[in-house]
Amino acid sequence: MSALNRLLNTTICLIFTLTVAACGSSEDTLFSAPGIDTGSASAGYNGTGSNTAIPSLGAATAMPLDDDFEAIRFLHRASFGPTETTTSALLENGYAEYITGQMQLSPTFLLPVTRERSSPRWLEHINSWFKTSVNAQDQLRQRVAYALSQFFVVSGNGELGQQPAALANYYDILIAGSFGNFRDLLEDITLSPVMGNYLSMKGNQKSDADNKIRPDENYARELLQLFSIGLVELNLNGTQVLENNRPVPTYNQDTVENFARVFTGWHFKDVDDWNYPSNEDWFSPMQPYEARHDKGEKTLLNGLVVPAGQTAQQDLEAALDNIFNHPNVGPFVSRHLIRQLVTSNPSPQYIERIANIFNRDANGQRGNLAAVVAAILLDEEALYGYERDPANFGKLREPIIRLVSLWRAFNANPDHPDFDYTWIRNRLSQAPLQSPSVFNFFSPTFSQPGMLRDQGLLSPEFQIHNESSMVTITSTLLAHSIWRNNLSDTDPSMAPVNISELVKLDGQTDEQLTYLARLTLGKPMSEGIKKQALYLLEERRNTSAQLRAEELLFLFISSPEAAVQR
Amino acid sequence: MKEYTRRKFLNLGCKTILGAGLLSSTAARLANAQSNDHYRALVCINLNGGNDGFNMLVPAGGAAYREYHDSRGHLAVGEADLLKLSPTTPNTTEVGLSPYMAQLKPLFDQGHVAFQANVGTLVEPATPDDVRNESVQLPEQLFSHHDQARQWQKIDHHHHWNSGWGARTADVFAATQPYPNLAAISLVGSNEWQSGGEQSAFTISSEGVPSYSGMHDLSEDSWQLPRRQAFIELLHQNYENAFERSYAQLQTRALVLSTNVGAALDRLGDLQTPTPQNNALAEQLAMVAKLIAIKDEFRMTRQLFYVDLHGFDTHDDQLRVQPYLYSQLAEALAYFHQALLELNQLDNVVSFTSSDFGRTVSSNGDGTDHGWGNHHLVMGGAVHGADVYGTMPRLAVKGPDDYRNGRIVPTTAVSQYAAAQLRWLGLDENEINNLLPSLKNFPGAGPSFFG
Repeated sequence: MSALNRLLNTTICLIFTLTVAACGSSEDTLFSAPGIDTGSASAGYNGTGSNTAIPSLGAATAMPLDDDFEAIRFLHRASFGPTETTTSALLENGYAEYITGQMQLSPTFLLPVTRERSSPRWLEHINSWFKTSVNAQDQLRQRVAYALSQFFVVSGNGELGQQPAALANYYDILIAGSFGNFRDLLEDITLSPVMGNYLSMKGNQKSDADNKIRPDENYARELLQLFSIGLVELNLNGTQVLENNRPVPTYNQDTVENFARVFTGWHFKDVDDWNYPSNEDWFSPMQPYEARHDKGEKTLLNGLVVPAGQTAQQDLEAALDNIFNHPNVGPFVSRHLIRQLVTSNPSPQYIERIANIFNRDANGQRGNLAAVVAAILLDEEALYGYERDPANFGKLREPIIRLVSLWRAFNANPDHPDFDYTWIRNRLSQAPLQSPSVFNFFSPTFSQPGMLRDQGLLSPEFQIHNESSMVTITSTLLAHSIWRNNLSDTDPSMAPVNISELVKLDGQTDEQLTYLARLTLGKPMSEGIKKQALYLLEERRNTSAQLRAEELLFLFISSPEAAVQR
Repeated sequence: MKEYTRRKFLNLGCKTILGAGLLSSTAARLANAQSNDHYRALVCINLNGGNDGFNMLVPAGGAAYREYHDSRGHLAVGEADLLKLSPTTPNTTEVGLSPYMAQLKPLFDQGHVAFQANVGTLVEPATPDDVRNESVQLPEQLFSHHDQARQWQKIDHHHHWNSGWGARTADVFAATQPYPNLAAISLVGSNEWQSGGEQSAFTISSEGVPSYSGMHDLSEDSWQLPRRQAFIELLHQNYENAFERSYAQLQTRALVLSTNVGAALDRLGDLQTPTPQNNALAEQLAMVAKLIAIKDEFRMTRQLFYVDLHGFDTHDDQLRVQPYLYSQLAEALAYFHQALLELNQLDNVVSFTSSDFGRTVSSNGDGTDHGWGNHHLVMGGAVHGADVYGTMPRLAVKGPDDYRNGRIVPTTAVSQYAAAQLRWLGLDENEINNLLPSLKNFPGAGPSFFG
């Protein structure tokens, strides 16, 4: 029996035996409280949190993991990139222990890091994100939170850039909720004043005939379109429901207007003036102001009627329950997370397996993201998709993840007080919470013209790769290998990579190249890359071990092979 | 391998990337027709997020203004603040321009700018009743950003091509161009208008063509050459994985652009017309002007450019945001006009606006929501300007042009607006009908801003 078949069987067993530990006990609860406050006057984020517990992955302990590159590929999905340490640990302990261990770690939040400076710089949350993403032990949670930040999109690219601590706190909601329940997360982001500002729910009020105004539709529309159900009815496997060969819209303008009325009457906590508040509490959930809330009857999705006379909070709960229970949510959210973590073109069967877990985990609970994440990572398509279909499996890596994983693999630390990468979007076409609009850096359905589009393959990340950004991305990789390493005279605030190990292997070419392949490629090197490596070693034979190591590192990380996650 | 030289690199570029394709019969016909033709370029200026055109071009007289003011509440532009325009065709509604677009008014007055009233995505003509009763085929997902922007830029309601009308147009003439990949150039990366055709649009940033750090020195004895050579050799491997192959291909295109176009831009230097500061759109248009200035180095006779200004999704804070956006837009357009004048290309370049959709004439308190019909502008020496084409809609909520809550139903289709541009570019009617299949649903000549 091949390893593949053995694994296939084990995985199928696993999916059906996935159980969730009882909620509420202190060991099992995934985190204590989101948004740790560090003692400033503004309170830390005080969301509803979540009581989802870690799925028990007993069956997965038997899962074979005997190939180093299997472990390395897994860590590209389940962390911001493998290191020698995490790879050996995974090989020793197996997938299940990795996932449960990761889920048990207490979350690392961005707000405390952001507040380490007495006055955070413009977009300081980006620096905090780098420090956390590179160094945090709870890598799986950080990776999932980053995926969620490209789903529940807010952006500091605009006036919110002045609120780096608030942006960090928003990101902490995602960190706190990564293994929680999706319904709780929906409520937490809805009531975040950062989201309230970004999609103008904050200050949204009921119709006022005298002033000729009606409720703002912005949040209502994007919540439905982007954050939960999408535009058209989906089958459980993510394909479109077709009637007369045409997709079926999930809602219409009337629905949007009714939801817009639901989301009226919310503002910063305890504002002194509705139109021009002088006190802006960016860290507490928004608060209802009943006089501004539309108390009329509303008709929501699938004809649900919310009765007249309810409070703003009651209407909001009813509306979020209504959305949460729409059958699209499972496939819509599962597909997003699969594309972010694993592959751009998951099979409908893969999506369906995960959507089933979303709809009903082992305890019958809907929306358990811990179970969903575990199932996504342990699915046979995730673990063996590359070996079965190396031509089409995987995804283009995000430029910023390439940088973070380089730093992780080569022990760079962006923790220096003068570290400042708030400008990095100009070079990498992306930065955390910096998307140009609520539609994220790239569209989930983008397909790169040419061979990918011709083959019908989606390639979302390609949308930020073009003739200009390829140059700046490649130049960034060059700067962070050839120039900013521990043996050059790099400023320590530039997070130099440590190439000492690589230099030590100079002269032992096979070992040196294998070491590089493990840390940068996720698969054994091709003959092509080996040939160019040998060419460079020959060209640089009269220089130094350090210069040769630098050349090799750049060759590997800038190669097309390193640009793809498998 | 050591004899790696600039020549080798340039050859690589020309042969594999910029080489002319085979001439199709259509293209051959066009090639003949165009052999002695002047250069012509279209510039699509996308107002990203859905421009509130009803505050850009405003009814300026009596009842029509009062109706507008009534719908808009405190978001209305004051009647006294409007810059009154005197369109050549006298029977249109009196109109005024946003006071924040003062820099554009002289261009309108001189006949270089025309407005097209109430344009929007339509599959076939529709009245508000048709929309309410769904008695005609409507664009899919009205009022959704991406869907409407996509339909605006694709005009492909039957999903026949999955490509932008800019891309399809570029495909028609690309084969007549020595460098087909320079037929469509984007200043802001991937966009729907130029995507999905045979040729991918080149992306250049407004700073120009970046150079590869540590790999840009092409002198024969450069330390960087082996590094660059190994890097390039890796792009020419046979990659089995589709993502690797596409990545390698794009990287190769980037190298060619960086080298060839970058060198031409370096030789050109700066234009005399000063680029306005702190104006992202003007910076993009400055780069478009420079690319037009170097067109002869590549012997290009037809080009499509795409630029974009963000921030028009004014749900919020419209009174503060809109003045800023409109002054940026007007300043950028006035600058571009001057730059083209300097290059003696005024008659060869037409710029037009696009946007996701118009916005509601009704207010949500401090902004407007997603609407439909919208006013647009075209600019260029070839434009019969100083006029407003199409029909100014009634801006009353629940009025004769309102579908619901102030969403105005367009009376000119984007396909008609596009067809006028394509005619000017030199495509014949068959070709245009072929590229814009829904055009046949709209009888009549359509907008005539090119006479």
